[in-house]
Amino acid sequence: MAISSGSMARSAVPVGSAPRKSFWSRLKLFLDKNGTFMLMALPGAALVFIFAYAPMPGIVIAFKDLKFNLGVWGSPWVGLNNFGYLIATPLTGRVLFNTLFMNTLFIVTGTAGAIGVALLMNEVHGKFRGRVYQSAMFFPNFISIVVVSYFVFAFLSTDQGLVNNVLKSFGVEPLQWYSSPEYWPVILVIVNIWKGVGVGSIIYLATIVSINPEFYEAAKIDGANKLDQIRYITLPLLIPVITILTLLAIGRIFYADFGLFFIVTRDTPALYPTTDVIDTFVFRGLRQLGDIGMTAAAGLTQSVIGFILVIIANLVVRKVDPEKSLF
Amino acid sequence: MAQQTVTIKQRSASSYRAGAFMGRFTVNAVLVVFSLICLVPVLLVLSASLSTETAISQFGYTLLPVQFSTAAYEYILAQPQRIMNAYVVTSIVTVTGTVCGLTVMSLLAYSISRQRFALRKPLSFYIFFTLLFNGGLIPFYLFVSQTLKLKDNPLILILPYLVSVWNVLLLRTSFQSLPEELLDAARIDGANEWRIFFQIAIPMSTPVLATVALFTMLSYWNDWWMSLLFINNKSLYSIQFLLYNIMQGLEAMNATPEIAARYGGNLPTLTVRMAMAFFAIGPVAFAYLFLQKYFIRGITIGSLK
Amino acid sequence: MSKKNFSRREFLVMAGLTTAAGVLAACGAAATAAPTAAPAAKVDATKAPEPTTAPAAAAQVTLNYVYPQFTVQSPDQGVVEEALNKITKEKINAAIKLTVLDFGTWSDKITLMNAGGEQYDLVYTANWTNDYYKNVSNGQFLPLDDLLPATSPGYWKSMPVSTWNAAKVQGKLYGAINQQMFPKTWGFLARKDLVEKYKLDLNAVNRWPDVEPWLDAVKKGENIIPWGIQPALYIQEIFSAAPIDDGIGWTQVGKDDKSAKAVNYWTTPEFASTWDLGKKWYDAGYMPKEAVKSGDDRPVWAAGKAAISTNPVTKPHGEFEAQAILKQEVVLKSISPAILTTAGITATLTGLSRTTVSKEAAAKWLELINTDKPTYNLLCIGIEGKHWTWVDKATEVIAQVKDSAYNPSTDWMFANQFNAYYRDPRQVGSWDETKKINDSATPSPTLGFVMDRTPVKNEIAAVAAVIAEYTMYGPKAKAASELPKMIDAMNAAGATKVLAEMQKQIDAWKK
Repeated sequence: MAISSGSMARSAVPVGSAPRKSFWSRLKLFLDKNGTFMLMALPGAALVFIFAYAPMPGIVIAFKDLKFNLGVWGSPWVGLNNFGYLIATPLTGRVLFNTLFMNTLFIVTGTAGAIGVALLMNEVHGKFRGRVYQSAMFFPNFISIVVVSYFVFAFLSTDQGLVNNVLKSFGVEPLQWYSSPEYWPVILVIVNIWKGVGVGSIIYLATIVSINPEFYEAAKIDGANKLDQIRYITLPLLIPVITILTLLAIGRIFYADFGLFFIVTRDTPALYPTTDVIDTFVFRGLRQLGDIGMTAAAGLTQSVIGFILVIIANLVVRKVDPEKSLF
Repeated sequence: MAQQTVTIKQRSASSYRAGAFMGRFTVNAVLVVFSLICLVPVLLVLSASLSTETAISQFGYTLLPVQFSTAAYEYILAQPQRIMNAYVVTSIVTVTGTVCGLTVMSLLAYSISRQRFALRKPLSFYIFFTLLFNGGLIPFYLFVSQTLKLKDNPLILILPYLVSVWNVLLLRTSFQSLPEELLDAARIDGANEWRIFFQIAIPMSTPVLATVALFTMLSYWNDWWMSLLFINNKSLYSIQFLLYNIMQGLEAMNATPEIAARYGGNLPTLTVRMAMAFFAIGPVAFAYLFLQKYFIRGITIGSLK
Repeated sequence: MSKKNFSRREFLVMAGLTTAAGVLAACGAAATAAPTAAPAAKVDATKAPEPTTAPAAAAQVTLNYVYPQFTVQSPDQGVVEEALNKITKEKINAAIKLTVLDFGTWSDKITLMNAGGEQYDLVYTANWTNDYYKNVSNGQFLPLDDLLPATSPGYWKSMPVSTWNAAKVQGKLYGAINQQMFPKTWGFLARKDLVEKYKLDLNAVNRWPDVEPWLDAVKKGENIIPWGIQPALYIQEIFSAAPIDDGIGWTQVGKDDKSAKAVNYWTTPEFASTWDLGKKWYDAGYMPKEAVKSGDDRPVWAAGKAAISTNPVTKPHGEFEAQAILKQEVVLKSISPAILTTAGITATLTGLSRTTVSKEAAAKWLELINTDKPTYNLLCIGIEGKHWTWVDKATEVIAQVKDSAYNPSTDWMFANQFNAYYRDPRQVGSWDETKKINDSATPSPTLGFVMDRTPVKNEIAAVAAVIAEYTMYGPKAKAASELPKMIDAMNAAGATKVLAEMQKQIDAWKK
């Protein structure tokens, strides 16, 4: 936060303004310059305050043994006791690795997939076809993750699964997919792309269609082919969006998609070596205890680590191009 | 603006005829395959929702139902007025929320996208921070129910989702890429920030606005969480919450031998789950078709001028 | 691993949690910490009204009774409520308001209501939903030790003091027990035709290995996979032990162990041999290759492709229920002694909220609903003539009207289930049989003990996360000879510490 207040101080004093003006006249000058923007930001900022900041002191629950009859503030403090189980097991390393590894995979493949589909969609000239493709890709987003897990099971179950039937018909030895953790990163990446790419590509497509066509005109005159145009015009112009979305994703990199890792894997113990992530680990550990303080502690840990990572990533972005950074 | 696209097409066609054909063929082939991969499961869901449970467990998922049955739909539609009412609630919430949310978010995003706004960085941070940190469920509940007193108030279905951090930052990125010269020219002509916002920034950003509108719409349409927390009045149930309730109830009934026995083990759990997809997708797919035109190339370019 | 394939009820809880969008916070705090006395008045978050003592010749109060229901609210809920009110106003000078929550979302909702100190008087509670112990630890319930004997004498005397003691937490009673079958006599149910065809002599079956030849015969003869789902074979009761604090999962005490020594059952020879047996059965193809959740095997049963399933054999004549669900004639066989455990008794209770308007009125309601058959059955099945009719009044058999507009089917949720009218003439007499089982069951040496998990909650969570991975089923499942390694991992996560703490608490509790 020191970073932002610093930048605020820098820009708040307008360059070249006389240094000895009174506070009030400086305030007036500031409001003249920024009043309209402040008014524009007000409704949104107020809503954020009410629904996000006002309940935020509740973070203290992570350090408390919450008793309803004593209330949030009256409950006893327990220091860092609620965090103990996160480091108490030999599994922590694996869980952290899986969470980071899988989320990194998702960020990379999800972004690449969405951009790829957006680029392809951009080359579709028949409007009707474009709509059909887009609608089709949009549907998976609406299928509940439980139903997705049924389909994945229908594909991969040992005895009746479609994949094994195909393998058998080619004379290949069928696999026990739900006992083979090594394949699951790939399976989950596929499911994740299948479910998210249609919607994800819309963001990039929206940016692509806003690109001024004159850029492409000029490039064509210079003899650039389609791939050159994509490489030298489209992708560079997508970088701001990619940067922002990646930064946001890094902030959430310690939160795993519970539905994907718990429901699609059917919580199969044999798959834990590659699919056990923070959220499933915490869920398993606390299923019986249901301790609110410990749950809050896990969430806070995820937030803090994500926060540190995103601050670092943002600093790097700022070094390269300040206007593309988050804050 | 339509003319412009046409000219582009003609020129490209004349210069790269053969290559362009192969390119287009590949593009379409890839998209057709991927669309099918996305579409087939939807058809399987639809078919499964019209099958009997036993048929699914015996024959698996098929493109056409093996044993046709509408039991799942009958179960969900047992009280049709309840579904209708939930649709009305959700529609009102979705439309109001999307319109208000889009307004609030684009204003906020525009302000923090302008370099001349001194508070843009701290404000961006202020907004981003809430993506990572929150007070947790119970403090949120206590604040809304006791301080704001919004229990069983339809406003609680709308207000918390008006500002989505993710959408605001997406919009900010889009506004940041507006050519500054154009805005400066308008300022020289005497336009104030409000006019620039409404007459230049908004029209030039329609594709991204449509995207954010779509996401906002989806978040309202798909939400059952606020209803779960704050709505007890059955006439204020949203469609997703109602479906969620029906499904959870079914699971619970199935798990309780006394109840399962009462229905002779015939509770259509699996097929109801499948049929829900239909109730959830139907209307929103319709709205999607309407918004979709904004993502197709060639529509909005003209508004630059 | 008896926890691995979750029981149906556990699955309910899980389903509720899963859907809470990853916000696990929807449950209460640590299980059994000492409840704090009266609600502190100065607390800002919870402005609960102090429970008031009704003055003499009190004005009529309205009791708010909160409980979950499975179906969409019975259309005649209001009619029944009205009929109930006629009775309560006359008999206990109180009105009753039935607040019915949807089962799927109720455990989240009631937790939030409690966190917010919202007003209600009575609530359904259990060790598996709206957790009794968490509520007690949260100071949500008022103690009943003095209230019940004084205000609800008939109800109080309907169960022995030892039963009431089993629901106590740190020496005080916070839950009104709904009488039902308390011990679970675990065993299995099997298809009747196949039992006869392949000559399974049920009388000769006393342990799992006894069914093995039959499993083999069924697999070969019928070409089906006998177990519909992967069975949880290690259940403490089958091995003459009782779970201690069910929620922890891997602890037990010998049923006749007077010294009440807490044991990690992973270290017992019985567990090791069961592990080997399970592995052998898996490899022999007696069960499906993949785990499906219990309940998902019903279509498999209906299609005649399963032959056996583990079953808690909860009450006499349970086969009628199972038959209706599975659409097969089945036989039930228990292979465990009847052991009375804390969890069996706290499986269904009514709690008295700290926000009650009158605890005396609430206690009078408990007396009425637990001792007055017509009132109880009114709440269970509705109004005579409208929702049900007598088949035989002498033996108390009724028939429910087809598509009754009031049919909760949750008798066990409201009060003493032994007061329920029989829905099927074949069940006549089963309440008496059940009561006999209750009375003759061996009390577990730790009956009534619940652990204060606070000192070791991190270890409990860590061990739970670690052991979930170990399973006897699967092509790569480890042999029983590798159990010591798994136990080492458990201990590294804190199992020894949990056990030591548990023993310390048991020893203190025994005094």
